Amino acid sequence: MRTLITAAAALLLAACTGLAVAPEGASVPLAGAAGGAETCSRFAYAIGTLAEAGSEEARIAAHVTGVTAAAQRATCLLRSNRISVTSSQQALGLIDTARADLAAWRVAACAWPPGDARRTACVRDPIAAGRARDRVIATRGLLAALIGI
Amino acid sequence: MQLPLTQANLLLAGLQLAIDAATVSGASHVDLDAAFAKLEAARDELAAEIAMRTGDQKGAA
Repeated sequence: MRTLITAAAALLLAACTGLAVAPEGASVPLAGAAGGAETCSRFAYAIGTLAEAGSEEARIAAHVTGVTAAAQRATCLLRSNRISVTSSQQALGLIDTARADLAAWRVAACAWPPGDARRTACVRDPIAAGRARDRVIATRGLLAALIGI
Repeated sequence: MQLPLTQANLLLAGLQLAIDAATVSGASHVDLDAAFAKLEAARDELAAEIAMRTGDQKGAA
């Protein structure tokens, strides 16, 4: 529970930071950074976005989008020498963890397209879906703390 | 025609409600396959960038 609260707080902070991020090029570029004023801030907001309303598919999609933004931001930061290879490897590990939990959530929530055979045969497991979702949120919090701010 | 401020506000509020309704109704047709495909592509791009810097091709697998 404490991990979840910490992760949620980090995610909230990342979201707020993303909203407050200066326009691209407005910040001071790091010396020697490839691409000059590249700050990779255009990916920051999406890392912190959450969708708790709407369908289960919409909520999963919002988290997939957030993790995708984290991968794009990590790549951008690495290319402009703003994070170390070690940090980017840690980010990749977290992204892989989130990806596996997102897939597990999708299976447990039967979030397949209407008419899809997998949806017809699927038996929903709300408890497993909830646990997978909590893990995704926790991992996103760690990602936000690592590269989102 | 110039609308009074309150009417203009009501019009804007109604427009916003219509947009929200369209957004919610569209949410039931989320293309999760496409979202996961984008995640895979972004993940692979990061792995490739790391592998290029470390000379380790295992990370890209």
